[in-house]
Amino acid sequence: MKQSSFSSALLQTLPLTIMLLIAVLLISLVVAMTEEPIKQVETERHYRFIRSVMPLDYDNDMVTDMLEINAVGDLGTDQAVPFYRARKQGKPVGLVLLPVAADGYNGPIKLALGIDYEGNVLGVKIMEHSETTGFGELIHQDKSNWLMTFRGKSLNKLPKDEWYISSDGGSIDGVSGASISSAAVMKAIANSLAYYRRIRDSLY
Amino acid sequence: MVIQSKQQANHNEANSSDESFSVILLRQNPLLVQLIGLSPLLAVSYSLVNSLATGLIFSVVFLITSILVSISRRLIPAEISVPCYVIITTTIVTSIDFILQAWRPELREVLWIYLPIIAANCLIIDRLQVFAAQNPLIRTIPHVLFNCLAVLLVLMILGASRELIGTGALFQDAHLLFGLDETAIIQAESIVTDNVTSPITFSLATLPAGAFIFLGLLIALKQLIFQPDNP
Repeated sequence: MKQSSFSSALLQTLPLTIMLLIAVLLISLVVAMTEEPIKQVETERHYRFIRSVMPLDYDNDMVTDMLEINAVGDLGTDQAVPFYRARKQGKPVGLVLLPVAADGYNGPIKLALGIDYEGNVLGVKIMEHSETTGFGELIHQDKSNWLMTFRGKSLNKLPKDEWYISSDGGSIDGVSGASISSAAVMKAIANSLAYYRRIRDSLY
Repeated sequence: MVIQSKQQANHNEANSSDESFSVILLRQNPLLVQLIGLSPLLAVSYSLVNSLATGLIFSVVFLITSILVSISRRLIPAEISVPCYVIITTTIVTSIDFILQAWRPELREVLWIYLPIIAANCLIIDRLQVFAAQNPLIRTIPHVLFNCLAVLLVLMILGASRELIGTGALFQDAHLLFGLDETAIIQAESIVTDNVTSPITFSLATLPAGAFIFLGLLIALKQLIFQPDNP
């Protein structure tokens, strides 16, 4: 009795196992087929994001006119940071860089920062973050307009020691409930602007 | 005398042999009469293009699954039938998911999680268990095709009316399904958008609550037109 019920159970699982094997085979086929196009979609999305913080007029291909600079900590990361340069008729218009706000509440926050040649902020967006839902994530461009308040700011108009939230002695408002996240992003933008100012002449 | 609920009677009738398209459309309509597997289909049918896309994907999944189950119905032991259906359905849905991500990524994002949910659609599992597993291919295919067509029609009516009344225009997101390069589609889209407009806009129509309201109205309308004597 015990023998037959075991073998009958085995017999039942056989079609299931065969089916699973076929299913896995089929899905791996589809994944292999679609890997290339999906990668292209991702890259295109990435570049569209980067272009969205450069509203100025330019005539070169910003994403190929790229420089990778390892600022060893100045830009929030030990890895090379891409600088996508925008030019019009050969003259530099501005660039987009991807600094990292290393002091986020739950980890580093990847940013896309667009600045014009003089060093004014054209736009800033968050690319990746792991901030807390409902609190830190409120700094994200989809959740609030906070990042838009950086447009037009520069170290010329606002010296570096003012780039902190009010409770830290600065003059920029953070997002309530997200003070650590706001402070991290603020610091990253200020550091990026300062770094840009230092190396601008070698960038273009 | 056996007292059956209306639901039971409908379900039993849905399992009997050889129905014509009009019977399936009117008396056994999965979305208007059987009221089964509504959530994923209603959730994204707030525009004509979305309804078309969802209906087509649903039909492809349903058709392929039913064909496979009908072919292999003698090989699958009854005890593990449902897990087998789930394996087949999930494989097909996952494949479609990857294909959409590669060639229509915006559409895939709009459909959000309701595309994977089609893998667990009660309508499909029910029809598989009750019809495809017991009928040869020659009878399963028309049955499934009629059901898919009925679902597609209802979804498109819902989608079109919800989009029209909800946003005042039609076909506004045609690029999701047809791609941005198709200039003919864009021209056709603008012809429809310019000439088919609604003077009233009622945003509730595009929200989930509106989905159920419009569904109820559609059911009532169908009863009124086709079965006025049937309470």
